[in-house]
Amino acid sequence: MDGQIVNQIRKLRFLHNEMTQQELAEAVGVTRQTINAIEAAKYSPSLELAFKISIVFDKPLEEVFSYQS
Amino acid sequence: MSKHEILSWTSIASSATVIFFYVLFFFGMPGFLAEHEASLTKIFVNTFWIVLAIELFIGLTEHRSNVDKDERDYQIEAFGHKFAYSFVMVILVIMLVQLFLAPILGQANETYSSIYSLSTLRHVLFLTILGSSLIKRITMVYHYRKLA
Repeated sequence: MDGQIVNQIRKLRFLHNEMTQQELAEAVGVTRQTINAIEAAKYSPSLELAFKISIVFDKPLEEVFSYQS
Repeated sequence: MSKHEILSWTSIASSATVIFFYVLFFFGMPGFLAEHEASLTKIFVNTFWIVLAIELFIGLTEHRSNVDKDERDYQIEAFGHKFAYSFVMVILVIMLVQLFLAPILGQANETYSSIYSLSTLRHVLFLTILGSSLIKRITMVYHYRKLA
């Protein structure tokens, strides 16, 4: 069964005072390119990084990331 | 383009330059390229200095950003290592098979046994190391582009 991990990062960044990719990257300890790749659904983050991103947005993990089969 | 992607590109250029000068020094320029020797040498010398300048610049600015390398870089590096390891293993297996075959076939053919001399093995090992480095970096650049 092929599926895809989709995310709401772009929308959540916008809702959090138009946070930039660089600001989010610094908050979770990765590079801006990695945040860009995650947003574009080209790279699936580790569980640890996914939790860190959801903590930054103060949202449960399933509101930031979801799996579409 | 991330710092590690730039370093992958510069590493490809530096490995290609070293391979070029190594081959040129030990084997000379192949006949069909002999007339372009001067221009090719100039290109690779310039490449070497440009690569050196870029790597020095990146090295000097390395600790200015908070994060230099993250999980995506490690994953991409692992892809590179996988392909480089496979390349080295294939070459080593081919060399071992040839070394075992050389004494048998060498009895019938003098030239065949001289091909697998110590100096030939040295060249093959050196080029294998450089080739594996090149393959690792090419794989990394491919994945950086794919995951960009």
